Amino acid sequence: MIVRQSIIFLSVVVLFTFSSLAVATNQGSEEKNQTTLIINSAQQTPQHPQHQIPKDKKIEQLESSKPIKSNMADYCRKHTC
Amino acid sequence: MKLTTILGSHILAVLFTFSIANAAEWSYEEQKHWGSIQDHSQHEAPHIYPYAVCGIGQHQSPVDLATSYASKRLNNLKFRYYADAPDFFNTGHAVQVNLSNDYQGELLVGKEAYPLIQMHFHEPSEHVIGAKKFPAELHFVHVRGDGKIAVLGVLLEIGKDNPVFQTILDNMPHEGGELKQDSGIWLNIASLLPEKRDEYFTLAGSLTTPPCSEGVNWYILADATKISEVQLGQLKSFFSGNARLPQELNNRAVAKKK
Repeated sequence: MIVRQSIIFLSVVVLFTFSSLAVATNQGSEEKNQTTLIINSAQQTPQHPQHQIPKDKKIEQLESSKPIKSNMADYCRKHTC
Repeated sequence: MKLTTILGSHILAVLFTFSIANAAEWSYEEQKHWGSIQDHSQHEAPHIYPYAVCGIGQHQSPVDLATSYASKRLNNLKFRYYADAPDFFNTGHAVQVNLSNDYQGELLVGKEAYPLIQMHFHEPSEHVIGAKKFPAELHFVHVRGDGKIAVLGVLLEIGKDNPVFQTILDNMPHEGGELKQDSGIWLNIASLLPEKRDEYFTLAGSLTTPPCSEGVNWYILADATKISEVQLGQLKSFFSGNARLPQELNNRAVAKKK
């Protein structure tokens, strides 16, 4: 009886571990795919910047086209001003 | 999760580098068209023309100082320029000296203090007095914490050589975009000022390079600093003709402190 219960318990543990591993691997694969997509979009930026540049990047570009900004001292170190 | 964070930061770094490389290029040869230079990375109307102010601004610099009126009511200038071991930077447009980050030197306009950030040279001068153009002009760029800018212009004329200017020339990188950091070479900044410093021209103007942003307080000393003919030749070997032409005053008045 005890042996039978032990076998069932072990089977459940093995199944659980295996399924967890499978889910983790799948998530990793999805992350990798997403990363590939992001890299691809970055590479495509020169052709379609309006649609491909992430929001953070857009803010950076808008600021760089506006010279009088809070960190003007840093700007003037990098440019002739 | 860590992998995602690392990859994300790498991607942002690549994009940031890309944005710098993509900045709209300009040159002095095409200065009349700075306002219409396009930034092809932008698709929204105001941002397509990052230097539009150069073309449509009404308070642009430099100007002709000949029409100045004398005033005794202007603030005195005090130059708290201390010695420093700066960085030497060839911007690709000018010979530039960046003061160290903890530099304490400043320009006092009355009681208002403007920290000195950098100095750079133009050949020939950008400001003119009537038909008179000077061989070169030195700009001391001061920026306050709130972003307000004051530029002190010092006209350069031919005379005896200036040892501090020579040190700058000797340490300036020859490649555009090259920065010489941590050289440990000390400069006595005040030696670049003329002996007579109490008379100056002043007006509201702009940066003289793209994006030509306005709201810059200009102070141009009436007396000139001397450099030798040989030194002028050395300056020209870096950049010759890196001067914007005088702009319209557009109802601005140039005041002269007597």
